[in-house]
Amino acid sequence: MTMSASDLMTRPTASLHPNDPTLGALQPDSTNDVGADFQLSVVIPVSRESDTIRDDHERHAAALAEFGRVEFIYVLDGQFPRAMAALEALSREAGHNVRALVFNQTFGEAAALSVGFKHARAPRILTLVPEPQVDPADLPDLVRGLDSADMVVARRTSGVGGSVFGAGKMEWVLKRILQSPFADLRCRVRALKREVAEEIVLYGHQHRFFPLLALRHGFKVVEQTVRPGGGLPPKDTSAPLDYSMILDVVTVFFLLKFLKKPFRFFGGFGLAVLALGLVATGWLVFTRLAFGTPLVDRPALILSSLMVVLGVQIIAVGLIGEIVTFAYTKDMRDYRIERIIE
Amino acid sequence: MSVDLSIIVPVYNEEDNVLPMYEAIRNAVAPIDRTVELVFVDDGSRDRTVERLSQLPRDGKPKVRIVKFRRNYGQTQAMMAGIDVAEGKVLVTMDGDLQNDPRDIPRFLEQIEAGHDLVVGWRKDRKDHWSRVLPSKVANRLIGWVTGVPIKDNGCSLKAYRADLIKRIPLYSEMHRFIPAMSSLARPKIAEIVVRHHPRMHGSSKYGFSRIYKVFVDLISIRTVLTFARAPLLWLSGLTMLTLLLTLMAAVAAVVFADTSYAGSSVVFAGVTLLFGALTLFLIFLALLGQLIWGARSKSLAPFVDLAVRPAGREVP
Repeated sequence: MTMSASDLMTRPTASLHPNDPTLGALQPDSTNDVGADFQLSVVIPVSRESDTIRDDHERHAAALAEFGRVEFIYVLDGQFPRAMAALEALSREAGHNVRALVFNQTFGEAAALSVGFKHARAPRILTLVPEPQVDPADLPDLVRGLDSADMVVARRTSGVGGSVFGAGKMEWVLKRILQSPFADLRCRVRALKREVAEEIVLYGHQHRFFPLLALRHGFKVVEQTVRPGGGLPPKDTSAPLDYSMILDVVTVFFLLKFLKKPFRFFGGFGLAVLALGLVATGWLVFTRLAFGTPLVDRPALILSSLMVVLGVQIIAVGLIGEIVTFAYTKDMRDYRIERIIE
Repeated sequence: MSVDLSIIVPVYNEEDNVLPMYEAIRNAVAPIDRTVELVFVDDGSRDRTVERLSQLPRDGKPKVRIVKFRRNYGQTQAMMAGIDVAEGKVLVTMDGDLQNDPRDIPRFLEQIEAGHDLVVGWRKDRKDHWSRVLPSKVANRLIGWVTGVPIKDNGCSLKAYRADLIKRIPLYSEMHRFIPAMSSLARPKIAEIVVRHHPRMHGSSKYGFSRIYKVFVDLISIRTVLTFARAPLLWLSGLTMLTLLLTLMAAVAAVVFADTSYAGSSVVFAGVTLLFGALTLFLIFLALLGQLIWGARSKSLAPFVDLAVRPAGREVP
């Protein structure tokens, strides 16, 4: 089912309604006109059953009260009856200010965020987890940070949750290979402008790298130090060795560096392997002809030929990548014009 | 009112250059008896560039249009946006940092009106450090040799295009450097003229020795794409023929050595035959995959390929 979730997410035009029945009488599309004056949308993916969702909501709502009309969008990533009951009660009391979207099964946090962003109606968006990862008193500062940046990422001072083995591991890897400046990617508390959410498509586990993706897309992303709130981290980061994380780092690495010029990636590898193979083969042939060094009783020639073959294959795959890029290049006008002043 | 000439200037953090740039272009095009528009593409500047741009005079001589990007997308995207938005029959692109001289524009226009599709500037007397000029010379030689479009200065931003040609050429990633090469599919008439070049006022350039590798790799890509666009099944055929030849040679060697005192070699050659045979098969399958991609997309690429087939008596703007 993860496959179908990512399919769904990469196609922004696809209808999401079969998968996100909305609670009660609240129809997201029909209420667009009502919500034109929201100042802030808070998107909260819920990834596990929770009994404290109501208390947490009230703390968050109180902290954000200064921003005027704030809408809360809870996205339930699966069936959680108790959390659901609490949210139903909340949305009845708070009217259009609290909405809950429910997935019929687990699609992951990135999918939940994307759907939440789609339904958000305010120009500014704050992402949270139901448990207080960050001291609610610090949340308004994060939102205010948007005045001078496109995205504000919370960085907790201490008490970072999660496994001892896992703490800081991903950040360390990303810092080395992608020069990521972020120290606390596990903290999901992020404030962003609407256009960031519109432009960056999240799938798989990419919500972790959201700030990094935004930064590489040219947005201004700043980190802001906050006090930790003592809540548990989202469950997908607690495993000591997380293979999906490794895959995601590779994907993000490729997406960020070589999406538009695949041959720069494949070509480098392929040409190196090919050159090595050609030199080795040449040397073997030369020594055989000049000095009569036998080739029969050792696998040297097969291995060097294998290297040549491998090099050519990598190059050919890279060129196919380049042809795909070329063939789809008309769709790759990825600039967005903010306005034209005539 | 139709526009005859569009001048496209991508700008990025050039607040100090905006006004001098505008003045220079205004003076340069004043003597031309054409409707001129000036399209500034702001590539997500973080300084006061847009503010300065919007303060420019609005008297329509030339008509100023400002395309504002949401954020920084890079020079190729900025040029693409300018080309998409421009309404003129002739498009001129130039840098926003005053290194090109707008006084050259009328000569570009003359060349286009004389029937050329593409006019390329040549900074014969470059005002840059040799460490920047030398790699760029090597790159230009290489580009000319590989693409078959020998242009002395691909890096010069000052170029003029017939609009209906450039609007149909696909540009991707950092391809604005390769526009003449990409347009070679349409067999355009290209003219090269010497342009004036001024030293950079401020900022630094990234064109160094490390770029040689990128240009080299990009060239292989361009060459592949060009060959592919001309003959979708043939693009890998050279390589496939070569590996097929190697396969056959190894096979012959394996058979010939089988009954001689070199019987051991026969096994080695049989192994090599198998390897290269597998590679040949792999390449054939890849070529078919390319055909599949082409089949799925050829409709949207048709306008570009059609450029090569133009009516004999086409109208010169």
